[in-house]
Amino acid sequence: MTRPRTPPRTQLHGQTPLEPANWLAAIVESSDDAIIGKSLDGMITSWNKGAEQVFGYPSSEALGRPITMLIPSELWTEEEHILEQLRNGGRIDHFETTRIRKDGKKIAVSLSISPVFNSRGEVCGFAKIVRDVTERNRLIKQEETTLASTLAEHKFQELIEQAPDAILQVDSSGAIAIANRTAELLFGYSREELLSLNVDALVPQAARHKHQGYRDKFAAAGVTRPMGEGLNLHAQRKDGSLLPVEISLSPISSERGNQVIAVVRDVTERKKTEKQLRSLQESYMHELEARQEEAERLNTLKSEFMASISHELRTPLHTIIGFAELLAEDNEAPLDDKQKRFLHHIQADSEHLLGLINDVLDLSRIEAGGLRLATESVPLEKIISEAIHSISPFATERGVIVSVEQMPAQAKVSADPLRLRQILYNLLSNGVKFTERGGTVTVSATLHGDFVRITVADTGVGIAAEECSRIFDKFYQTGYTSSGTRQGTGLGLTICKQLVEMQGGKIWVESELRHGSRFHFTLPAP
Amino acid sequence: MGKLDTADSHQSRRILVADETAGGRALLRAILELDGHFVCEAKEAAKLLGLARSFDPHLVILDLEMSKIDAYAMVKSLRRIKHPDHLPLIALSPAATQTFPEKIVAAGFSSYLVKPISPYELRSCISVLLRP
Repeated sequence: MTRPRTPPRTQLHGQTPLEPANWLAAIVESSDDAIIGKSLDGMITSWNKGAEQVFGYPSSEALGRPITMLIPSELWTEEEHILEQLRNGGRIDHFETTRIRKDGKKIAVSLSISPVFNSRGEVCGFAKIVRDVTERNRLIKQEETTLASTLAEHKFQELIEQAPDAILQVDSSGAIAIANRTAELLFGYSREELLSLNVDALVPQAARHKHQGYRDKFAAAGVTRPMGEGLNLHAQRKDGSLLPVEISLSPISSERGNQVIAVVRDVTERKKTEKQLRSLQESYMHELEARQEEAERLNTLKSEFMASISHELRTPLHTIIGFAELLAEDNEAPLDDKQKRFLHHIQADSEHLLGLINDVLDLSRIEAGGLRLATESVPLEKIISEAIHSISPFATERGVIVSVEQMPAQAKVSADPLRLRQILYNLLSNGVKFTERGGTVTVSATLHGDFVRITVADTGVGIAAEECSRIFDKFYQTGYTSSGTRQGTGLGLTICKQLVEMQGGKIWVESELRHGSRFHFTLPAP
Repeated sequence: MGKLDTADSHQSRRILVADETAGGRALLRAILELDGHFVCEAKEAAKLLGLARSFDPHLVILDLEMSKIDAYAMVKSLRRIKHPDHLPLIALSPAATQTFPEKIVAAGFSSYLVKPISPYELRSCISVLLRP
């Protein structure tokens, strides 16, 4: 509470000067703040005009009443603390809290309370100045909100300014209303220039006449168009140069009518990357083609090499075999037993070598895809008897009987006769080779829907179950040839499998040790 | 297998052998001379037509594996000079699995043998073709 001042000596015109005590009362009375006196036990002892205005109680309703009527019940504890502090001689300055008016409305207040001393220097009550700060708080809050929204707007503006894409807001006439910093950089115009331009000026000369139509159409459709949709768009800079762009358009309605926000992205770099990628792809494709050609060339070379090696390997062998046979005819000078034995070795091994070479070459040709099939409708009985006829010298020599067991009348298969004969010969040869003297090899054929199944069965040593699946593998040989028989090349069954499969059939074996083998293969009926 | 008695059952004939390999020619010459024939060798297919005129063979044996020339085309040319009845032609073909007999016969050959040839088969073939 301010100390009472010495009243001014000057007199106002026409008025009677006041006594010092009255001055004080007049000041208290005219204050806008509530100035309240209260006793030690919390009763109101004085109540000025300001108090009437702040709290709504006339002094008649306030004086002698407890001060707690001004305090919301939830704050009574707080009031206890305040009183405690004051009784101990303390002061309260500008303490902000809430009070309650007569009409029940809560108001924000700032309190300053100081103890009042009697002539003996004892605390006899309290002087309380209450300022209604509701309005002030509201103003502060409003200011804060305004500041925050200004800040937010600023941030938002910054966001637009710093966006990596040019952003333009265009009205229905095409006038540019807003342009960001990126737009300046992208189009080469200053902000002022942009804001005085029609957006059509940013469209390349060639497309400009159509642009108005596009804008109208867009305005009518009123939907956001995704960026980079469809066309190869270009924009024109101030200097007349063009740049590839993607444009995304969004319609907005504002108090200034329908407007469009255009986000324009410079895709120069991306187009460049795309072009590089394309050229990279093209060169990769070229390389791929070149490699393919090279592979084909090498394949042709390989086929030629195979043909040549076939000739080079077999020709001398043919001569050796021919001469050996001529020698064996014993025409002029008779051979002694030792010479005959040697000659037999030459004949046997050169025949074996020829078989090996033929198999390897056949397989190479099949695997290189160089084997062409001449498929036709083949009478089965004829080709089987031909095969049996071919094998009969060997079978006779081995003491094995080869015969046809079952044959549907007029049965035909769709196959290459040469290859079918080769398959049959291979299977018969195996059958004879793995069958003991006195055993039999039989050939039969049965019809199974669209396929004919041909079976070559023998009464030979058989194949262990675990070997049946591997027997068609390259160079796989069972260890069960009957004694005295030379091993084959290990390629015969592999070639059979390939030849059967090439002709649309399949091949498999049923066997068990000491119970013979049954090789089955199928070929399509014509 | 027994040797055919060529001295009694056959006259000596002139046989033209076309084979690029010395071994092949030597084998054919050995078999044929053993049987009493006269042999003339053509080392390359290109010489075949000239020798067919000058040597005037009774029979020609031609190896299909000769390089640098299409043996089938060669036979067609030969056939324009000599009718099959007057000049039988035997083709020597590579492995059985590589050859289509129909193609060989269609090309104008009288018969064919699959290599490796056996003396026995060659003799049988010749005796059939040169049967009087």
